[in-house]
Amino acid sequence: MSSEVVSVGAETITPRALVGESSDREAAHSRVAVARTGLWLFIASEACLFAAFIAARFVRAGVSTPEELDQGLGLAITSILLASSLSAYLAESFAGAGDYRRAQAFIWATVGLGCIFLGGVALEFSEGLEHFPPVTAYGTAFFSLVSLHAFHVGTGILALVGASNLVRLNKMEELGAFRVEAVVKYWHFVDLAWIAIFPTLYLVS
Amino acid sequence: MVAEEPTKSTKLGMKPTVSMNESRRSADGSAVELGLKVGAALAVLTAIEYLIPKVIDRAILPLFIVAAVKGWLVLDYFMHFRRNLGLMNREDTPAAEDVAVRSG
Repeated sequence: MSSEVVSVGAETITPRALVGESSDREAAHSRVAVARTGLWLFIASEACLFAAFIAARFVRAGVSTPEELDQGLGLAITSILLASSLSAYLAESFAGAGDYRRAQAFIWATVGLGCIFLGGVALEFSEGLEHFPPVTAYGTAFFSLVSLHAFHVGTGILALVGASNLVRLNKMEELGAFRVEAVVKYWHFVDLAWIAIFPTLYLVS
Repeated sequence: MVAEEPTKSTKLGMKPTVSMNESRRSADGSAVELGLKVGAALAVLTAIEYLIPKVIDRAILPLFIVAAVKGWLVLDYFMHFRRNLGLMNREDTPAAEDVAVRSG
């Protein structure tokens, strides 16, 4: 094997070291590529789950929507969730640019908006129990679909807190950066699911 | 202006770490602008979606067309769906690119 060395300042780097560094990087890249494929498959399976619940709404309750349903509140929580998706996108962009302080700020803004969304859902639930309890066809569809979504929002909030911790500890190497990307993608998926749920439960009549 | 000392990576013919990070930071403004534009489009579409049933009876199809457009905006611009689909084995999202730059 060639004994060629490259001198850089006080450091001496052998070709073997360079090859090792390169293969480590390739291994990290392939791990991220596999993880990203898995993430998209997970999102696709979750989308099928939500699609089944949305289909059940139309099968069980048709297109009828109770008049007591507060569409204004539905619009408000939809806007909050869309705003949270924008802030998650900005967090990812700033993390990508190396501005971890702003990235963390936007992650926490997303967490805050997610919590406000859950508060709105709780308010909607208290009204819903009074006007269309889960024993009715629409109530079954409403409570099951919104509960399923709220569970995803809750887990998304926990995952965002974990992502914020990764950014705070500056663990943005190899899989660390992908973990932040995965959490943000998951949050966008939660938003995407609500984009389908909002007309299904609130607007169709 | 002080001339920049060549780094280990530039001497070895690799991509210069510092200047790439700087270019990423300058590109950051356009990413923010894009995000705000998509956010504004989503807000307008949500308002239209809200008004549709008040104007049109049995407006299921228009509602889901608007929802599909909103979904596509989120999927493509926020989740980078097309980019991930075409380049599944490359580190092309902002956070992952930064890691590639720093590890290079």
